[in-house]
Amino acid sequence: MKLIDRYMSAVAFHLPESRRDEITRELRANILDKLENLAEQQGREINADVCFGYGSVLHPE
Amino acid sequence: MLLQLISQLLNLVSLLKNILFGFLQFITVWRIAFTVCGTVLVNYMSEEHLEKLRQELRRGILVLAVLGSLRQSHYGYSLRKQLQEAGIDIDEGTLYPLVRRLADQGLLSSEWQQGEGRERRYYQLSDEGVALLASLSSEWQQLNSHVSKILEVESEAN
Repeated sequence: MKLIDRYMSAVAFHLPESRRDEITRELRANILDKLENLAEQQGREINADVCFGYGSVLHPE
Repeated sequence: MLLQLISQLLNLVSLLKNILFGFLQFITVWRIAFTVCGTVLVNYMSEEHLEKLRQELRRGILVLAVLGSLRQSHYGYSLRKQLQEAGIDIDEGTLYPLVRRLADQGLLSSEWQQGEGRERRYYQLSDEGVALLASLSSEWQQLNSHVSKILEVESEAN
């Protein structure tokens, strides 16, 4: 899960420090859910490192 | 002498004519160019304007849709799925911050739960959220019925 970790640190960079852990923790769960669902739809395992189909970096509010 | 004068006069007239026609041509070309550019620009602006108005219209209603969905407990992805199935497609970059904002305002309560080998944050309406949803949704019903009537009159008139 290398790429997702890198993505998380990229997102964390934009977040206020006080909420960093909480938000990345939740976002990671959301992304893993999405990947899992994508894998089910396509009937095969999706390599999260190769197919990281998440949109733009979530911008801080 | 007189002949010479006349021929010079004729020359002058034809020169003036050339200048005038050249000028008119120049203006016509630019007028066409400006008209074309203007039309393109106006179309572009009205499309952009429409998009802006559409987003404005959606913004408040999305809050209502999210609050309504969260009468049941959902985690981020399942909430998005449910809204999609109901015909409301919100992209993740809008939905997740919105949910977070509603939680910050105390309208949602949340807790982390283990499920299917993964921890997820489940959200549900708080008591405050339930009360707010009730008044917001009656506001929406009223607005919707009033505006529908106005739009109906409009379409009958056409």
